Amino acid sequence: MKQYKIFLAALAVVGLASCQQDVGDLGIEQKNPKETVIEGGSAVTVNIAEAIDGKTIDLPYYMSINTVGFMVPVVNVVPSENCPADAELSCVMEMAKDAAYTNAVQVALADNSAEGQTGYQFAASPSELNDAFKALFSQYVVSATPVYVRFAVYADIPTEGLATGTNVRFGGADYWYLSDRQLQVLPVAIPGLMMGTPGADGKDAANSMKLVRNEGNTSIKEYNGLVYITAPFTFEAIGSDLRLGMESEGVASAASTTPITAPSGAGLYYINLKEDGDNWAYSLTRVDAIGCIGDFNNWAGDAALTPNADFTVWTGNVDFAKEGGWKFRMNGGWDINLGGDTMSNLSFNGPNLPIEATGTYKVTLDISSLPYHCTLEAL
Amino acid sequence: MKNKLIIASMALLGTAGLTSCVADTEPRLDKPTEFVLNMPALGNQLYVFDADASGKSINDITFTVSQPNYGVAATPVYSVQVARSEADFAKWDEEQKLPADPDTPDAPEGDGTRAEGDYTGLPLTAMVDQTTTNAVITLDGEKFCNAVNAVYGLTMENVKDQPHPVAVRVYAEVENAPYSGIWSNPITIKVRSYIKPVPDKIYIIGACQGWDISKDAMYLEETEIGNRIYVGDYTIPAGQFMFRFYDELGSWDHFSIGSQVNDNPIDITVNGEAITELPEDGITLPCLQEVNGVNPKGSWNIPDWKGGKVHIEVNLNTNEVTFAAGQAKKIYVVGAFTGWDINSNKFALRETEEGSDVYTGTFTIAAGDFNFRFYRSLGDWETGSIGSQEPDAPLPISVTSAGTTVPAVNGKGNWQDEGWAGGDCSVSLDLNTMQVTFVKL
Repeated sequence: MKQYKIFLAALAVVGLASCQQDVGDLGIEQKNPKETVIEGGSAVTVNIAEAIDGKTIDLPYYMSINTVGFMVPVVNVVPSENCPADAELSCVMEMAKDAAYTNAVQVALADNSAEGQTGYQFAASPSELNDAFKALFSQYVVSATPVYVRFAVYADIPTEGLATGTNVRFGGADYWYLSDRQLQVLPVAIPGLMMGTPGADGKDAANSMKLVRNEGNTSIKEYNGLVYITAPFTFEAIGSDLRLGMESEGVASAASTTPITAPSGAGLYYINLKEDGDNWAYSLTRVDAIGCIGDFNNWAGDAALTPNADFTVWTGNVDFAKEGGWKFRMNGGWDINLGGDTMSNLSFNGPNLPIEATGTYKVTLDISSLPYHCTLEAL
Repeated sequence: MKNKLIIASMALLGTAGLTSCVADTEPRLDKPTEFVLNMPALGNQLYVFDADASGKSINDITFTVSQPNYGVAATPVYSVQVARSEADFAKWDEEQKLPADPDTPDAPEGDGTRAEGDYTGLPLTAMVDQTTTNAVITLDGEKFCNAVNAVYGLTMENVKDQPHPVAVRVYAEVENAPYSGIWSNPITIKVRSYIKPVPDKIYIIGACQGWDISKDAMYLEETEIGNRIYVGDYTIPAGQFMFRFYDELGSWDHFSIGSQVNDNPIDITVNGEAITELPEDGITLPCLQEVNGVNPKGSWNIPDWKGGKVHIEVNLNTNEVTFAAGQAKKIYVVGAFTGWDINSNKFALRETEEGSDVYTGTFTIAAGDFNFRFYRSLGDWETGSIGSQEPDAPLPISVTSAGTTVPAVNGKGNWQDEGWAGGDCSVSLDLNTMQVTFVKL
């Protein structure tokens, strides 16, 4: 009887003990606590690199030393404690003419960090920076010019055990670091593209009105341009050392520094300059009138425009009664005329401009900077 | 009496203990009421999905969840659903059929296309084609973006690198336990999606396709994405070998790739001589792309082209085009007279006409070497053999000048003519009727 009791007691213990064992077999629930979400752009701080902060980015200088891959330091990016520890950062700079970043262009920056540096330094290739500047402005801008810049920072975070990784743009889709900062950029001039007229209006070569290479003339170098002349001037090639003074009337040479005087007093002149052996031949034609002519007036007579004080902007109201082509011409003849595929890029002897809707427009021709351009404002 | 009570109590306790054990070995999952998808630490940033140079997705995305409150540890399968907005999840839920039994709700639709968006014509939701039992859910970038692209209708043409808000939620369900299914809370992130690129094409426009500038029937395709080397094989009818290429259709004056700028064809010659067919090793000629806004419109021309297959390769890196005789389909001969080389393509029957499935060839076979079979492809003795019988044993035949026709089967038996005195033999294999004819020439 006693053995029977012991057996039953053991049965009860085994039964209860086995229940405890089963609970342990159920494993561990997968729990992942709520993560701390990185807010906005707090993962990094971004600062303009000291090398360019408050200074002009002298691209001709950087290009001259770029034979060893020298880069233009642009920004320093320092990760904060919010930045994933294993993130590899990259940076893109957006450049624009205005604070609204209209028609902005982007430049991918390269990691230019020094050994042991805290965070990253990102830098731009001088040639890519120069190309971006030209895309924003034009190939004709050769003086130091302010540009608006802002920066996007990306993080590439490796995923353990996978060849892929997670890539994010810090701050979100529209987040820019250092928005509205301005940098001063001195672009690289294209040698041989333009000829300055230092002295003509009291300005130096870079800021003077310029003649442009006539690309249609492939046999010799030839330049044309409209220049407002108030004082004697010389010719100075933009982007090279060529300087030309008056050798004799109608002849300029590198051997002379004598300024050229406008033959008919102060005013707007059309200048043609072309290589002639060792010398250069030049001619100056005073422009007293600019008008519009085209299908709207059956290519007969000019709708006259009126100049501003320095003859660089001409305006007038023109009744484009018929659709079709039209052009600007000077002094009532065809020797000097402007046309173009678009109104933003006019050239001498260019094709007819189109008028797609009849009506009266205020026409504005701007020859103050290259390329010459015009606008039509419906009245 | 006291002993009897003790014995009875112990017996009851033991039975109860063991009974409870039976229940414990099959723990019942509670119907879950809570399942939390965490907002990722990077959830306020823009997720960017990019591709490498070959167009392959290089990114992924990770979400974390905690197991639904089943009351016990379990291993549910997690699947991820995306939508344009969290409101679209609610719309999608409403559009699902009401479950017959509230305790056993229907599992979600696998492809999310059952419910259609009411204003875009696009699906309200899409499931990511990837599941996991891990509560740390790392999704392949391509698969995740496929779902995003589905709800937004994104294609290579319209993606434009724009960021899109993407609502995400996770469905958890333990296998074979439908009542365990539960949706997580939704979260919304922003995504710049990836779209798998397709190889670029250039189009053949010319006499062989009716000079139709909008017809895309004949084209060459990039051999690898982005490598700008395009190939294609076409049968060009007699007298119709005159064409040039276009990178895009629709305009005669743009995106052309031609033999010269002028809109006149250049005749293809060999050593200054006119040709009627192309050599197998091909003729390589320069081609022109748009130069300074001028589109080259000169075609390539073989005035007396006798018709046939053409292999065309255009390399827009080197600006070269190669025209070669197209390769007819082949059936390879492997046997004593070929040196029993399973990798040799020197001896082959060629298809008499594209699509005919009749192959012919003539071979010089030495005495004692008439012992062979055929292969559809090379490199593997066990794959694609056509022989006299299935077993790997020769079947004796006697080939005469009048011709000997015998059956052919998918097998490894050879045809063997022990009395073959040597000489040329014409072989014709008809895979339509599975017959082969040998003629002593």
